[in-house]
Amino acid sequence: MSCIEAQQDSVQIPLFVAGRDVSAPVEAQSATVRIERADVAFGTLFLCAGATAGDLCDAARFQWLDSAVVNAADPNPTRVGELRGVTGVVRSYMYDLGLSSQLTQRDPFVLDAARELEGFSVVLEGRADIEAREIPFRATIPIQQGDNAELGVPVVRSNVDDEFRRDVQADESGLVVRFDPAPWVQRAPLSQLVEDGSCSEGGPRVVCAQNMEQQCDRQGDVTSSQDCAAAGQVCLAGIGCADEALIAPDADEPLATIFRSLRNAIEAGARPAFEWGAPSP
Amino acid sequence: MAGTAACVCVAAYVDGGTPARAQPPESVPSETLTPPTAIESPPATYPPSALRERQESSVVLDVTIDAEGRVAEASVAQSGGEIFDTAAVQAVKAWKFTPARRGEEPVVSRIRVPFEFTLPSQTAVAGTSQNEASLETDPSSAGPQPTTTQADTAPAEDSTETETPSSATPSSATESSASDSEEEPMEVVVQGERTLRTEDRSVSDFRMERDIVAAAPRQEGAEVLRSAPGLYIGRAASPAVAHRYMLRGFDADHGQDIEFRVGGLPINMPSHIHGQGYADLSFLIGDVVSELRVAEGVHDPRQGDFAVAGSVYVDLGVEEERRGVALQSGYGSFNTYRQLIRWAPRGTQNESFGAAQYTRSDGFGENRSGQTASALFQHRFGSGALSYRAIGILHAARANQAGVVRQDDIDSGRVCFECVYPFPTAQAQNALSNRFMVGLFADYRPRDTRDDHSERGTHGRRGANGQLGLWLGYDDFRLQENFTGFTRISGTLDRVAGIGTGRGDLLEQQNRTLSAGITGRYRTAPYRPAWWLHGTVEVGIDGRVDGIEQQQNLLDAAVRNQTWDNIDDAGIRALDLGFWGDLDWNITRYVEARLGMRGNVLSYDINDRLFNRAPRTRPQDSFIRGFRRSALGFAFGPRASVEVKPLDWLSVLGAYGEGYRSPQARLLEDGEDAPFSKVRSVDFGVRFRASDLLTLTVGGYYTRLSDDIAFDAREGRPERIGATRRLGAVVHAVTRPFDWLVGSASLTVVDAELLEPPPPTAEEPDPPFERGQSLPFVPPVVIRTDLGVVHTLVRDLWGVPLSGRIGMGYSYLSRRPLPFAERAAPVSLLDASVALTWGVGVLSFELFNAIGSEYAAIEFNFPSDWDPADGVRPRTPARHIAAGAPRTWMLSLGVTL
Repeated sequence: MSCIEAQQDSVQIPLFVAGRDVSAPVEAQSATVRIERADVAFGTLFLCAGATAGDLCDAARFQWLDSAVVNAADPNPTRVGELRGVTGVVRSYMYDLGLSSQLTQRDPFVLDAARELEGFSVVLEGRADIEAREIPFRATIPIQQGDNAELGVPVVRSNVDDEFRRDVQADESGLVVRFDPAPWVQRAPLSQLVEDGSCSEGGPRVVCAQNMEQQCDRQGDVTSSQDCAAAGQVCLAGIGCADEALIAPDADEPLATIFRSLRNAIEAGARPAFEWGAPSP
Repeated sequence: MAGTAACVCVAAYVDGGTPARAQPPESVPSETLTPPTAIESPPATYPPSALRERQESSVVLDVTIDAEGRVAEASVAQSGGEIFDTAAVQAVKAWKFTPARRGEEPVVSRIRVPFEFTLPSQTAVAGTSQNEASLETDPSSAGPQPTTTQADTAPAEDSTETETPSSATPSSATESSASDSEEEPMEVVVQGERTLRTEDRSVSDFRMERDIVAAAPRQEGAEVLRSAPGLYIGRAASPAVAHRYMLRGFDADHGQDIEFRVGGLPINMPSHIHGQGYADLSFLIGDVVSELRVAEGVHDPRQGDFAVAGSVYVDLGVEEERRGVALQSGYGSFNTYRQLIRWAPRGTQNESFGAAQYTRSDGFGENRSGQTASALFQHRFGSGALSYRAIGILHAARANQAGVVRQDDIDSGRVCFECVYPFPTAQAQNALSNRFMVGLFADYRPRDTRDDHSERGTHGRRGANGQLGLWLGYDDFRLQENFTGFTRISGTLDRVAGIGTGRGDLLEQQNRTLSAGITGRYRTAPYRPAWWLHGTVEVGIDGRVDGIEQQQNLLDAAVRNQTWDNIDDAGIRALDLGFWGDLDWNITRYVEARLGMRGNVLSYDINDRLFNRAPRTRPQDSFIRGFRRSALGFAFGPRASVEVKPLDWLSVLGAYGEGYRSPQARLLEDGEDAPFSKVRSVDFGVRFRASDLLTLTVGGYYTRLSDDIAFDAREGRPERIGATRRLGAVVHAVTRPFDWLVGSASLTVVDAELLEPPPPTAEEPDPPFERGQSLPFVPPVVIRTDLGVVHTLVRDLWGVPLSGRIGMGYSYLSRRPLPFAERAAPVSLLDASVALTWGVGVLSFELFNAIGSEYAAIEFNFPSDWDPADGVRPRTPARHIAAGAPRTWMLSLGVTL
């Protein structure tokens, strides 16, 4: 960035965060999902002059170096701080989700918001109706720097084809960053949780038949069965009876697949909406 | 006063082979009397103010010569005015004679010495180097010439009738003086050399003579530049890095917009890694600066590369009253030692001297210790039409640097104003500078004769003059600097923490330049096609070749400066050939017009060894990195000025010129028509001269630059920002109301604007721009005052007079706009000194920044991360400062033998 912009004015823009109304069920790959909790650790945030954030945003136009937990299931904006910078056109953005990558360390820095979410960037909870079965789930997803990615640069960046452009003036009244968890959930193959199966030679050691958990031996014989519903649980494919589907980084399949889908959706899929102007009361 | 262009230094000369003569008394002594013979006769000085006022005068001195040939007494027998009397007495006191003899015995004698101060002819004037300005001694014309018939017809050697006191006593000498008035005098003609070229070509030409330069105390020699209107210099880094310069609306960084010459040697270095036109004046020793000439704007064809805001010419020399061997030792704040040795043999020309200075200091605050050593020598030799001047500069400096700190960190108490960040990458900041330059200049100047007016209307060689100079320079520069903290990622190593990232942005810059140059010019004798018209023509060339090797790397200070990225590695061969022509014509006595043009060819051969570097993720077997290329360009522009003198005390001056700044070679493309920063400059104003009482200049100027550059902290060097313009006004006054008082004051007001958006980049594809956008770093108002008082306090203190000197210098820079809507605080600096001189000794006390201003020597706005462990990296620009020096004192004791 050139050093010449003496004419620009310093601006502090009120920053709000918000979610979406998720009371309506979300159709997600043969599943109908009701989102009950969608907490996002948001921050830091940078708005850049160039069309490509990341390497080409050493000098940002605006920054917010704090973090906050966004209730993405609540459409009402909440003020979380101020975006500080100078007037001028912004064309791209980049942000972290509570876990900040550093140049000097391999491990990310856990910001307050992520600490509030027990070290995760996003926590999603809800119920998925799949083939007439209701599967409660809880996804805890850290969004952090991958091994091959560049250190010291926020993880989530706007796409070049995102139509993100704003000539920010000194009287800018606010910016609302609105997250919508529905697109993330839509990309999660939750239906894999209820795939019925039967014991077979060389097959999985646990299968579900309806809501019955069956333990299998190597020869494919059923060694035991359990009615999950009797214990108030659900039978999850490959897992068996469980109170809920725990979608976490160290989960086994098929939860690991769902985790990766959600992580990719959050990191590279649907972006939040940036709504300029102060939210109406 | 030696060596200034307009303040023509004239020579009083006694031909060593011509004995001074005295009239014999009526009673002829029984033994043969031999008159005294002058053997050393250093030049007298034509009073500068008289020269400016075009005053002529005659002074007759009675001079008593003791038995050892020294001038025991000199008194004014016939006054020509105080300033002329003083000049004559000062000159003759330095003369040495073979004493008069009665038989074989040396005796006291007394002679009468008339000095005649005559102005040069109207033709023309001084040059751009000091040797052209100081008028040379030529025994054939300026020497003592017998003026009476008797003297002409009676060879001195044959004179056996020298009137000499019969006894070698002062009283006898005094007694004999009555009859001397009727005796044949030895006449000394002090004549300004034919001025060959008009010095003041613009209202923005300023000359700071020695009394002004020496009035205020200076922490360093280069600070003499602060006396120039609108020119401010400050230390932003360390004594091993060039100052930062600002001149009438230009933030000239380390010299990119100002052409500097010292003793005729060019100081700017093209395509330097730390900044185009990098000009380090740290070698200057203020004690031997005789005059400062500042040509603000562009209007003189001799102004070459980097003359964008203007040109600064520093002339060196030691005036007669300070000549001898001087030793000075000083101690001051922060354990600062300064030692100076100056050698200026009496009886030689003011330009001849040698000086060496060593300074070491712990520096204020943290990490600012350093040492510097400089040696300057200059000698003029030869006589007659050809004389020569040799000059040499040696300089070495190494110093630690504190770099910059974030203002928000100062505000939060995380780091103090004069401190450095507690990381190895910050504490390893330092710089080294070594420089060597030598030059030899031959001046061709046939002596004009007083009956030269008979030559009017002819083309003659009389009055023609020329110069041929050769110079050689070597410069070695190495800098370790970290402005941004921890933001860099290696382009070469794996981007994992601890290997290719987060090792500190300690930028190493190395630059080695070997340069050689030539300069030559010839100005014709005056040509007078009509009674109302006369003038001269000058043609000249200058050229230089530079071999530059430069690198830029990232170092990890924590592991013995391990290199963790190569950023630049280039070799540049550059040639700059300039040529000019200049007409300087008088139209009646009221109008003087000059019209010139200058062209420069610049050629570059660049070996950019790291260009086309393969990305880290790609195999490197598809090509060999490097980008060799060449470019050539041509810059051309007119230079014109006119001066109208309706009254003796009033001049109205207007000037226009087009200049250029050469490109940073490493940024050129192959075959590119070497884009030049073209500058167009207009100056207009008036100058009032009321004798010595007051010289007042009021002027306005407009400067437009096609392609400006501004400092980029991340790259540690200037980058292109687009076209700019300056509109400003200057008021400058110099007053010498009394012999013991000199004062100078200037006010420069400027509005500096960006005219078009800066060039787009990937990071900033559409740079914000508003018409009327102020340029950063440029102070809209600059004020400077200098005041010097020298007075005899006690006429006789144990047989020796005691005199005192008080000096004061004040600089003010108004609030400066910074990038990104920030504004720098104003700077207000007062320096003061007091000194006592008793016999050969001088005791001085100097106080710098006397009011104790806490100010930033520089301020920048850029992103940095000086807290790598806090988890977040700030990316918006933040204000950074480098502390300016606090209140500092220096106590010095010196002797001159």
